[in-house]
Amino acid sequence: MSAAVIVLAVGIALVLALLGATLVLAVGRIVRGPTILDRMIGSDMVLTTVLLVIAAAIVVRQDPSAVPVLVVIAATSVFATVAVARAVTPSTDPEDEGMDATTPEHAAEAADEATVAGQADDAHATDDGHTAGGQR
Amino acid sequence: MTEMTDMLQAFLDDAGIRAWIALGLLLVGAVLSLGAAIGIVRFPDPLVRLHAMSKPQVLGLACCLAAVVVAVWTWSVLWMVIPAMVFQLALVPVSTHMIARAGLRSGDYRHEDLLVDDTE
Repeated sequence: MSAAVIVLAVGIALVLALLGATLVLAVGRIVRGPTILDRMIGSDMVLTTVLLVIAAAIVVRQDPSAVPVLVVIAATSVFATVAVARAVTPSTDPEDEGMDATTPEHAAEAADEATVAGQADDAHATDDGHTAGGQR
Repeated sequence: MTEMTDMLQAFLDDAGIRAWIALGLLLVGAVLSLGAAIGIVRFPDPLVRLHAMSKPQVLGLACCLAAVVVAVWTWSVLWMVIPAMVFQLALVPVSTHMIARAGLRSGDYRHEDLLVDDTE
């Protein structure tokens, strides 16, 4: 076991330690939130770090048979993020009642606004009915 | 342990100087990735965290894919790695744009810290 092998082993161990710290911090961001967007940022980061770990394994083993996995993960990692971002974006159409809350506090506020708006709509509708009836 | 040292010895014998170049590129990629992780933990709102996440991550992935090409050093692996990099370069702006749009529309940013808000 030559000195070069030991230096190489220490270098590889350092790379893996840095990537492990990255994974821990990204998972910490997923756990802490506070919004679903932060969680998607963290999960995107976990996926990219997995790509880096696979790349490091390919380098050390000199075995390129795992490269297609890199290509597929790189091509599909965007879908989850885009789907969640679409789902939580408030619609510009007021008729839509979609899920647009990114935190529990938002959900409570949105529910309050929805009930207030619903009562206002009801009052408006009965008003309309009266005026329409009066005009007839 | 012996398998590990045998594997590293074989890597050094096969690749020679390319092994050290690949190790350096992997280290740069890992450091950039750790920088992005520290950014998303320390920065205060989703828009700033997006900025901290996307750029170092893409450059770190570019370094690690370059390390793969340098270590394996065949044409076939180069033609497999180029699509991975192109996909990342094309799709990371898409996903970060969608996250930023959702964050702006649902108000998950520090409005008082913006000098100019072009979305108003």
